[in-house]
Amino acid sequence: MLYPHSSALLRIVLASSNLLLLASSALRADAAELTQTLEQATSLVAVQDLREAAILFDRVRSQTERGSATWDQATFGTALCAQHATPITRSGIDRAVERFEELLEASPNGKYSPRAMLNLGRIKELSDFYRDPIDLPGARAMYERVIATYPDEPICGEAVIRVAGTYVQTFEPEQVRQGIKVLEDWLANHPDEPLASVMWQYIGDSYFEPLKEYGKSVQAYEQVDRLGWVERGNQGPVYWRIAQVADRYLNDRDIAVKYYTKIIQETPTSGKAYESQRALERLGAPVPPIGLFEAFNTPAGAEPTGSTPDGVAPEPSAPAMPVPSAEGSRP
Amino acid sequence: MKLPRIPGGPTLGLVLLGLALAVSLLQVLRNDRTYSYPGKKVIRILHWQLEAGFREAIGLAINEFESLHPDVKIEQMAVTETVYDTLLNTNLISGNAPDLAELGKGKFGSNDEYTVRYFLPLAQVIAQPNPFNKGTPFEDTPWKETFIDGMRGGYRQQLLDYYAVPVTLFNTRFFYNKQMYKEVTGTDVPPQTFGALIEAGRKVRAWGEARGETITPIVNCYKPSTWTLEWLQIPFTSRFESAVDLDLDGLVTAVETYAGLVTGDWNMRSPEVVAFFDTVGRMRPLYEPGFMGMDRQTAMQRFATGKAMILTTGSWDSSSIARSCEGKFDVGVFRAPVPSAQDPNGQYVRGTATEATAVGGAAFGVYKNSPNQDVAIRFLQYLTSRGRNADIMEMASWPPIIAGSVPSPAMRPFIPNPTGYSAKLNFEMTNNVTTVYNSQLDKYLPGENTYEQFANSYEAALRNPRGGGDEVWAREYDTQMKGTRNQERLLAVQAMQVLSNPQDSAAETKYRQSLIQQVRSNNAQYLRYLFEKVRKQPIPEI
Repeated sequence: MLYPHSSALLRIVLASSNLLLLASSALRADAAELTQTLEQATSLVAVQDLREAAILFDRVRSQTERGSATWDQATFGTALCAQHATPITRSGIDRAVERFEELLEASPNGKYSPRAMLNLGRIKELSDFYRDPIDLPGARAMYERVIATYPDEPICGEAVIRVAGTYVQTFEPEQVRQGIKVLEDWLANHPDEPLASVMWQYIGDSYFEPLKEYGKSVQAYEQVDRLGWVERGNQGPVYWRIAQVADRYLNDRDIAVKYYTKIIQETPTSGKAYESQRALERLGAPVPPIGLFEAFNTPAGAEPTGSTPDGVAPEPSAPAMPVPSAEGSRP
Repeated sequence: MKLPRIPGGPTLGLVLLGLALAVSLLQVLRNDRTYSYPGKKVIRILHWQLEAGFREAIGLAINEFESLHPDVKIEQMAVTETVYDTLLNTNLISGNAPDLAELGKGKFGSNDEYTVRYFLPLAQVIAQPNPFNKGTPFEDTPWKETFIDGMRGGYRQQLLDYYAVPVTLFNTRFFYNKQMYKEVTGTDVPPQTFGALIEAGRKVRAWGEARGETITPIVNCYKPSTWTLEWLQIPFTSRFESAVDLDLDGLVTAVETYAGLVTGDWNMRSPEVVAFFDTVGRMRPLYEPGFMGMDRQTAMQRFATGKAMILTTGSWDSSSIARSCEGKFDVGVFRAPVPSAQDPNGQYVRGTATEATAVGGAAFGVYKNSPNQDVAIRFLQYLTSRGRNADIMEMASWPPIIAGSVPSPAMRPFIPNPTGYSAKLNFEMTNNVTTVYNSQLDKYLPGENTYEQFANSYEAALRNPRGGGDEVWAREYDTQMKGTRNQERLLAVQAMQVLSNPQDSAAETKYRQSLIQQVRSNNAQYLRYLFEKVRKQPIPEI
């Protein structure tokens, strides 16, 4: 034997390698388990089972390194659950604040930090429980901090909306104008803002009430119409508002006709399609049929017979109802 | 006292126990065999619609679907309403729920927090065309858009998603004895105006008396106040919309109704309001004494036995009515008539109430843990395909829900009529105001008090500084603020989804929809602002 201790050394090296291999396997298994736990917790959040989700998030949090991506997600999760698990309590909100702040301190540039900062603003703005005071200036400051800290993050758009909201919800005219300005300035400087439709609709609402600047309100809503309605299918009430404002206050026949027509063609189940037909008739505009109910389409302009009010027209005698056979019959 | 000793007691006990176990095992095996079809995908569909015809209609659909899909077996489970909640809830908790379940009843089928846990959100599925519409004009139309109500009947506002697929449209109608009506009035045409209805009622009473019989013109399956007010309230009070619909959204809320009272836009002496309640009162001679307490079964029995000429109920009863009257007389259907210009109070009627806002009924959700979700969805697609929905629902004598369906002549009267108006004054509010309104109305309808008494009591309740309209307003403000907070939870949940799955565009879309709803509500502060403007004082704290 050339090196009397070489075999022992070899055995030590081999043993160490095996131990290292075992340790890394264990770590990989742990990491996989943590990932799975996080996924489980996230799934529970999706069905609003926040108490169970909090337990899982806490478990992951306690087993991961502070500031790691996994820790960030788990910490954000525990904060979210504390903020929203019912019943909402002062201690739950305090715990949420603590965790959000801890996250911001440990991972200021982490994936969840912009949302954590915004959520601190939401806590200030909303009344979370009975007699929880609302702090609009405090909320505004937090939203502005989001914009200043994360200027390139998509969340900035929402933060801008929230800033505007802290002004608009006072319903004091000068404050409302300030809120509108925040939105309009942002839109002017961010033509590709993903939340532009939301912003324009909020601007339209705010000009409508309390400012009653109907012309500007309609202009804002027209922007929404150009961009596309976020609540597609539910824009019927807004169409009605636009049509009524144009018809009754602005004397803007073109806009009124446009939106009465849209009600009939795009939102026939809004309940205002028939009244829109009548309005178009009055305005001397073409009157589209209400497409979904062809079986009962009375051409607009046709006077109901028998001097009856709208919609009362003699119908032919309905045939007797069929009596179903005892056995189902195939067509 | 000493009990007698049973010979072979312990052995007998063992034998009895063994017998009980054997019976249980046999029952289990039988149930298992019932639901076990080797080589087939089995789905179960649960509902509570025991009205005549619906089970047969579903049975027809099942037969047709199975013939198209030989590897599928569908079991229909129709249970009474009284056990439906318990059955569904228990099976959901135990993880053994039917693949399809009718939603809208019971905690787990109604409450959003449970629906989201147990049933599949359908937004993505219904955004795709229904494959059974291939070859029809709806071949490329998203499934949702093929419904007359846009599938609103299955939409959950708080969850911002669709959780059920409705298969029919429900609405209310007047069912009448055609032979009796012809004999009494001399015409086949059902009453087209309120005046014609009153006249027909007067004639049938006289006709009955001449024969020595008591014939009631109208019986109601449900509370008359609900029915009568429903179809007359919009025609008479829709005109107030332009004055009281402050946010111009086309709806008049309870708050707006009260605000209109405060600002003098209406009161219980307004001609339209007086006319409305006067017209409602004119219905009295059409009912029988004690009509306020009549239940559904009694009403249907009166009609089927020829003791009443007209029955008011929903389209869901149409098949049951036809069967119970089979061989006795033909049943016709007509829509609730409003006063003509020539009728008393007719000058105050603006028009009929639109039915364009009708939403679908008998809506089925897909169990999240169904092992055959794809088959379950496919069956719903078949049920609501353009080519089959009308025919299948015809078997139940229910109207179709799919746009463009060609209803049979018998079903035409049930198709929603979009002609008419939508807004009305909202007299029913909350709390004490509603209590007074309903209790006074229950006296006014049968003539136990005068309109003056009714109007005075109701207006006094509204104007009462404690428990009146101000409190209604404050409660609505409180409710909306809580709603904003609840919406924040939904937003948080959705934000988590977006952060976890940045590629999920559907999650992003939902988030924006929630965001705009919440933002526009301004934390309910519009209600506070409006109160201060109208009442010139701070809004009360609840």
